[in-house]
Amino acid sequence: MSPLKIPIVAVLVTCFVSPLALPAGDGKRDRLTKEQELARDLDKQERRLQGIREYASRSSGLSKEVEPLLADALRLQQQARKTLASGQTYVAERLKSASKNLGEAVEHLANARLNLKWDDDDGRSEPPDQDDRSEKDSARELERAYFRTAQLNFFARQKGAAGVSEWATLSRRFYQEGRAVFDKQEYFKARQLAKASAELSSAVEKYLQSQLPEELPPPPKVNRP
Amino acid sequence: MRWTAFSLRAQLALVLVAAVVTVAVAVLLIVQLVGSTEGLLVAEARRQTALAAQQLQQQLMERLRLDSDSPLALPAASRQLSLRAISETVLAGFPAVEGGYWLAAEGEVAGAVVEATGVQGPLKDLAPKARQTGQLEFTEVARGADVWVFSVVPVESGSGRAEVLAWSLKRLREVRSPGRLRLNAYLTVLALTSLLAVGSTLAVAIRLRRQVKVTTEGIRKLESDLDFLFPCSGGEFGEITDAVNRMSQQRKQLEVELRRHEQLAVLGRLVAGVAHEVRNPLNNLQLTLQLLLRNEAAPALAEQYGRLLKEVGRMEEIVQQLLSLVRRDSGERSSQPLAPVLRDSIAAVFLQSKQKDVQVALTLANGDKPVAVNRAQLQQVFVNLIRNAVEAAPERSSVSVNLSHDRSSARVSIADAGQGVSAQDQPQLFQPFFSTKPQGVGLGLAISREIVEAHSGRIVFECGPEGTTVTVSLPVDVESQKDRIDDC
Repeated sequence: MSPLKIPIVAVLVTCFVSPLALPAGDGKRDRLTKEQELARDLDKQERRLQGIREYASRSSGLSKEVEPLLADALRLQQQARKTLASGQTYVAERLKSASKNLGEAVEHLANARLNLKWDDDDGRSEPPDQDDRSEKDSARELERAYFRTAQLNFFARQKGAAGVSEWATLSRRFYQEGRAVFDKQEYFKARQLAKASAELSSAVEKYLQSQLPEELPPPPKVNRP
Repeated sequence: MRWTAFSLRAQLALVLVAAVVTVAVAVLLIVQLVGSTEGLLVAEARRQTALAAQQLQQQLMERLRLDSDSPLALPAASRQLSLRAISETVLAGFPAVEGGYWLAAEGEVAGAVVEATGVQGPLKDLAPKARQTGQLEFTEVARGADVWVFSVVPVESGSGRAEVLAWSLKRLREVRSPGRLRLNAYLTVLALTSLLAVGSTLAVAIRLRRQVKVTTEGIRKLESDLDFLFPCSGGEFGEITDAVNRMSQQRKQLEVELRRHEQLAVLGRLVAGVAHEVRNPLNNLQLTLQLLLRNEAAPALAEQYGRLLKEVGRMEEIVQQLLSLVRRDSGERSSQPLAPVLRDSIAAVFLQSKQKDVQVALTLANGDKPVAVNRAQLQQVFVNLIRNAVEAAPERSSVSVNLSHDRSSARVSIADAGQGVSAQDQPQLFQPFFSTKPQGVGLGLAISREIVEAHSGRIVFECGPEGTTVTVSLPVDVESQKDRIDDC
């Protein structure tokens, strides 16, 4: 073997063989990583909720309308942090997701009310373009929202549903409002309201999942021949 | 061509063929209908389950496509909640359809809306096929009397072979065995009743045809043989043949009567001629003989003349009797009691009865009501009958003459203790010129019957081991009776 090739082989061995030779990692190390990621996501989401609140404050009426939902979203954030701290990672993850759904619902509602499109990366907003006004896309969003609101009947019978009945009510109301503005050919508004409705239904589902008895997550899927 | 132009046999055959064809077509239709009903039910179940499975597939695929948070990656309870929410919402639009998802890796049902267990087996069999073809697959599973129709379709998750399949099920209750058994029972009953109906029609047709034939032949025989009688048979045809028999007998009696009247008519004409031609010479002969007898001194010749006179008198009597026989009317009648007529009649045969030492006694059972009669004619009848009785009665015996009445008629019975008349001779007793006596002319009873019938009465001859009784019935004079009651 030439001296030139030795470093190349070493690099290859380091890249391919070392991972196989090393232990897969113990559960504690994985859990800590996931918790850290979750904590990081919660921080990020909290900042995002703050940005949404600022965006919604452009209209005093809107601000009042979204404030209860934002407050619920932040409350879920805090609950998620607490459960994370107590080691209930899966419950924390469900609460975080529900909180995220509430934040997105507020974002879409604000878009509909302000007739703007908010970008959470830079916090700027701009008027909707032609793609955002597509009748077909609006109809599809409404269809999806309709199916999600229909699932609320099932969720209403589950344990813990009473605590989030307000979200279900709002979800149905936003769908109806979206359906009404669709008939007035305000497709951007209709699409945003449909999304807000679907996000609220999704928040209900995730919140209810957080109320289920804690289970271990399923094993990772590995493609087998 | 009119319906009546066909013979009865052709009409019945036509009805029979129509009945058989109707029954056969009805049974075929029912069988086909039932078969197609089951087929339709299964086809409809397939359609419904296919739609349900496809909607379950589409909803989950959309969820997987749009939502970063895949429900399939969640723990079992959360996954169940999400999938159940989708299943219930989709299947709300499909009444009586169950369904959910099949997790191929785990080999178990998830998010299912199922009323009972028992779906695992069929899904385990059907899921690999659907995964292999990547298309909607059906199966029908028989569960006793039920049929379960399954539809399974893979949910494309973009990772090669589908790990999840959407399925739906419709349970068709009692479309198999018990229903079919019940149907078979109905069909059997229908076939039996139809056979019964056809058999009855056939039997009625044959019987009707046979009886029509018997009646036709009988009537044909009756045309040539007046004594023919239909054999006794029951039913409606029996009534018809009985009526024909009665009609035939009446006709026979009428013909006998007619023949008798014709005989009498011929006899009447003959007698009228004979009487006219014979009575005058007889009168001359009688007068001449009486004259000769009065002038004859020799006893031997006087005896001869006396015997000849007696014979001439007898010939005169025969002529009188013949004239009585052919005289149809009963003459002038008057209402009167019968007892005096009977007493006179008994007195008329006194000498004969005394010679044989036969007692003739009259008894009145319940009085003596008046009867409208021609006294002379009726006395002739009673004299004839009492004389016959005395002649038939043994010496030193008795003849009883009894008079009785009921509300509508008077009856005179004359009974003797003689040997009677043979059964062979009885039917001819009242025929003219029939007599069982060596010297008899055979006109007495014939004349008696003519007179009684001319008085609207009847004369009946009864012969038994203890003797002979002849009874004469005559209608009582109702008007006269009424007058007497009114007078009282």
